[in-house]
Amino acid sequence: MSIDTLNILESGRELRRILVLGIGGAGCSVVARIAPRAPEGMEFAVMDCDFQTLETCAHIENRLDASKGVTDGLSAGGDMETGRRCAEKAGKPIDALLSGVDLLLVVVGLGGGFGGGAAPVVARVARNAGAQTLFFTLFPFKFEGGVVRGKAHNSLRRLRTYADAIIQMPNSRIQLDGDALLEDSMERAGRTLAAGVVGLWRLLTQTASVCNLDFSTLHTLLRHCDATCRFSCAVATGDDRAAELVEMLRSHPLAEDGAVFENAPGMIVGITGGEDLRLSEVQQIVDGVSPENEECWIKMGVATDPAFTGRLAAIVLAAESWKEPLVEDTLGAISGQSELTGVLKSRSRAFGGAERTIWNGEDLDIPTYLRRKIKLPR
Amino acid sequence: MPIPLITALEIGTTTVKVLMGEVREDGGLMVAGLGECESRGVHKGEIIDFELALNVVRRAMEEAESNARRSIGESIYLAASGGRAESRLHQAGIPVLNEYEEPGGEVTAEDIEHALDVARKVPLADDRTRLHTLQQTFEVDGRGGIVNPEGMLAQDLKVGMLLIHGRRSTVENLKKLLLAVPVTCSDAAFAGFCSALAVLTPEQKRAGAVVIDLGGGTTDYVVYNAGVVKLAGSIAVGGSHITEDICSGLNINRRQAEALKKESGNAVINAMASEQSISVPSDGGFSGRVVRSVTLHTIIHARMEETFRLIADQIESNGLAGVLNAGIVLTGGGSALDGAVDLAQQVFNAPAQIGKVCDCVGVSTKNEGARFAAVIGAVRYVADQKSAEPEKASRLRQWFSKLWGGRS
Repeated sequence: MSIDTLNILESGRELRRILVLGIGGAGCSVVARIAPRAPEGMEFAVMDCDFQTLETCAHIENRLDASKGVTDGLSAGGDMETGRRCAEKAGKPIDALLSGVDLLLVVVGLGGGFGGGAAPVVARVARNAGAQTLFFTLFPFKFEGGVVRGKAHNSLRRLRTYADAIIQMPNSRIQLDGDALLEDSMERAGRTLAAGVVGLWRLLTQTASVCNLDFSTLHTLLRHCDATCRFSCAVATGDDRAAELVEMLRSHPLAEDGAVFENAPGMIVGITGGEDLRLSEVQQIVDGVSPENEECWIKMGVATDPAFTGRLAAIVLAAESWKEPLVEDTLGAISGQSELTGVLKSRSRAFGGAERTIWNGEDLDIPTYLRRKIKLPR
Repeated sequence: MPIPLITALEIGTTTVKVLMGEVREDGGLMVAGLGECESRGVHKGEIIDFELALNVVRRAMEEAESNARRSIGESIYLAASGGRAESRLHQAGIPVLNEYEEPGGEVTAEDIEHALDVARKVPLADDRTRLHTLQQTFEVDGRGGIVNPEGMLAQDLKVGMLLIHGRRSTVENLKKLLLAVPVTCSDAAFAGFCSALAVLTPEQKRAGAVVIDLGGGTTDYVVYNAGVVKLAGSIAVGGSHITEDICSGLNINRRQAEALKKESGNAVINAMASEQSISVPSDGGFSGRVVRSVTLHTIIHARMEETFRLIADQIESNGLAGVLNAGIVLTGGGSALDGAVDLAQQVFNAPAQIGKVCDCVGVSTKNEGARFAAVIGAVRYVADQKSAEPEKASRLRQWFSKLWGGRS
């Protein structure tokens, strides 16, 4: 193997840099829960304007204090505008944090001050930096009231313009039945999210796979799902593990008893098993979650890992709707190559042949929403 | 002596405006005639089609003349946008000598004149032409912020000059167009600076303010701080870009897009109205259709936010971000867009308002003032220069003429 090919392989590996970022109080606490139990190689970062929150995340290496010049170490106090301003001020550090990241998994609680205000800004910066973004958003409890819920929806709407995919997770959905302890409920909420984040990470980084599921596949789903998708994940052991796994996937808090799978126009099924994984089990799982109709776009990935001998894990990402992507960004855009040449040619006569407006190397004659890759709500 | 009538012309991307006015003794501006004509053959403030543009300018001038029932006469003043106007700060210093030619002494009027002369001689690239040289405050022995150093004891005297310059060919072409009308162009002024003269009060200039002229093809900005212009420039992005964005985003033609922008456009995405739909009537082979207002607003918001942010970045990189106490003043046609003020407020994190022309009779200042700010300001600029130059009467006037930078 020549040195050149080696280099290509090296850069190919770099292409899949994934960062898990927690924003705001809720996001930081979830990331703080995941981090100690995470598999090796996973990268974490947290960001908040509240000094106290950041202190509880002391074990995470990348901590971004966004309070400088706005709140100076205090929280945003439930005011989204303050949160947004914090993030705007910290634009450069965020940009530095996201440089070279290809997939950004963000955990954020909407409805609060910093999370709700800063998340859209982070999404915008990430988009400009060329990173794909997947947001795990926690929604407030029902009893938190209409104002907070309204705020959460407001920031969700802002987020949708920039984020590639958003997974919504109402806090009430993960509430245990009966009189569960607060700590248990929170722990469970964190665990559900953590399982999703870790599962997704494993899906993308698992190299020794039989049937590969890569970054571009996820990219296809993200581009078409019109910014909302659901996920479900489970681990099962024992003789009847495949059937059990399907049952667990369907009873996942976000799967709504499998109703999500029935109507999904597109989904990704990632299965991880040990060396004892059987083809019949794979078939059983995919059959179990895929909808009856033939129109669903299903992509399946199977990875084997000796550590999973006797166990079976699966993660399902299901799109809620399927639309033609407005912004045609092929994978080339991820590696930093602009694909705008087609647009350039067709629009050169728009301003009567006047000289193009080039500002810092950017062609301002091209519509901003195309350059920023902002999804237009239809 | 009759008050001279001053005519100012602005050749914009969407409209050509001619304003005839006179500045009375008390400083009030009286509009005598007004001509406005939809512009053709001009894009981004630059002439693309000479013949088309010429006709439009002639029509606008005729309209103004018939409006005022007076003739424009031979000379006209031009408010030029476009040409990628930029500003540069240049500082020059001279040693102050006493009567025995030894260093250190009282600053005399000659010293000040000498310092200004040196500062005005700013080297400029061949393809650029100077539009204004604006004097900054003096610095005496390293102590800045001095308005009038005359009579102070000093070792050396420094003064800054802000040079606003534009592309030579753009300005020359505009002048050439006027020669073909035929009328002589006496002077050209930067449209953004003119707008600022029309809408800012001295208090606002002292407190620090940004005037943003949202034109059809260009966006001009001028930043005031401590009473003097600190930064100016022009970006060749304007209202026509928004229209083009809407065209391509919604697949409708330019006329439909323009109407949609004016009637239902908004620079902020309103969560309450996002589900509303707007029907676009069919036109020119394009079928009518229904669009969601949130789609329209997203397109406009993206463009406007970017434009404001480019200016905000310029202000920040020049270290002027913290001193804009009077906030943002929007002028030009784009300021009529709903939500423009709110968006400016968000992006600059400072109070924003639509500019109101001060001390002016003849145009409805509430509705029209912001659109005519550049030509009104140009008349004011010319009047200030005229009254200062020939008489050399009062000291104050003389000093004013220096403030405008004189002409070197």
